[in-house]
Amino acid sequence: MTVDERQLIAAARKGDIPAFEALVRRHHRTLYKFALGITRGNEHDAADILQDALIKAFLGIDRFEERSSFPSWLWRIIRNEFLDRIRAQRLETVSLDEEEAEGCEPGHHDTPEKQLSDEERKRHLLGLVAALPEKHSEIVILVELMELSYEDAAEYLAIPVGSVRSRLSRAREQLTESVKKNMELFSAVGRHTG
Amino acid sequence: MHDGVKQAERLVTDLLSLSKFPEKPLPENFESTLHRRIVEAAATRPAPAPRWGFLRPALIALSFVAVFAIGILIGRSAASPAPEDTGAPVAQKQDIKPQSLPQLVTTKTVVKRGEPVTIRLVYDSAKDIDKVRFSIVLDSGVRFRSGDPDIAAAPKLEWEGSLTAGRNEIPIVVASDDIGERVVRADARFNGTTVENVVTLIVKEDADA
Repeated sequence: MTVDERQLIAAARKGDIPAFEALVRRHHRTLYKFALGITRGNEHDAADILQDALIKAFLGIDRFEERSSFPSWLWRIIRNEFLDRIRAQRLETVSLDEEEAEGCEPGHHDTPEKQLSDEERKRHLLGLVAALPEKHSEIVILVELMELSYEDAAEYLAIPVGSVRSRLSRAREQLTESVKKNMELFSAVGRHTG
Repeated sequence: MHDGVKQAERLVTDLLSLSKFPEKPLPENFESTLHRRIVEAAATRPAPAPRWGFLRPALIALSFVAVFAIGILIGRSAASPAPEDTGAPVAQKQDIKPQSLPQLVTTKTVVKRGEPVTIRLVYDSAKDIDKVRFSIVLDSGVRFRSGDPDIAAAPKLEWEGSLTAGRNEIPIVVASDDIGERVVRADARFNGTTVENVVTLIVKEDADA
């Protein structure tokens, strides 16, 4: 932790809002991508829930213990907030009609059925990822879905890069097992796609 | 069985590829909206009990640290417009709402649209402190009431000053042209410490505050 970061954290704990904003600003882009992923690209919802999570972080900064890094603490708050939403399926009620109304038109080569099936498949996959043990779900999200480098993922998780690799390997095994057990979710959709 | 695993592995690879999260720029108003929401959240959260609460009176008395007891005195002051010379307002104290948190004071008050409201930032300092950096930032729609056109047009005031041991008051007069919740944020920074006052004006067309 840098001296500057330590000072900002100390100030934020005392209620210094600009200090807190300075602390989290460099993470906005990455975390917004996370939010976009779980809201399936809905920019309004993504901004809204990211702001909710950041407000929680601000209100809870007293609980931050400097044994961990600030990015990893922030990540845990954001991750919990977002995974809770996935698990509660609050964001999984968008119908095809609503998506079209929001401008999510099918691609040139995709039929509406194919578009729906891809959305369904992505939704099911996200649900299975969220159901993995936390240390495995977050590594899949960071590296596979958000496409962070191993180094950046290591910073968010406060673990060595080698651990990122090993956790990712284990997470993929578990995800494969989980998909295999729930193949009907994907094969049922497969009937639409032919 | 083995084929099933291979099939699942291929499916996972395909699905992960399909599910990459999109990347888009942050909405233009993201930071300003976040700021407003944090200010609102800070204004409504209960003040946490200080870990050294039982020692606080003794600490203040002994001046071991420069702990402030801060209050904001707010008064609707339709009868007390800002003086024309310096812009320093003369307040009519009508309401006192100090809170106990040492470094962050939040207050809400209902005001009428366009009506001047006087906010007195009160700092009780344990000792003299030089080189205090003060900053007052207004939400859009809120303006300083001042005879000085530069101040009246500014959304933000910053200056360096000092605090003397004992009670210090900084009165400001503002008015809001917009209805809704508007925030006035005042910071005092010194020696690595920031003391923040957040005043939320609940602006109504016909307020009976």
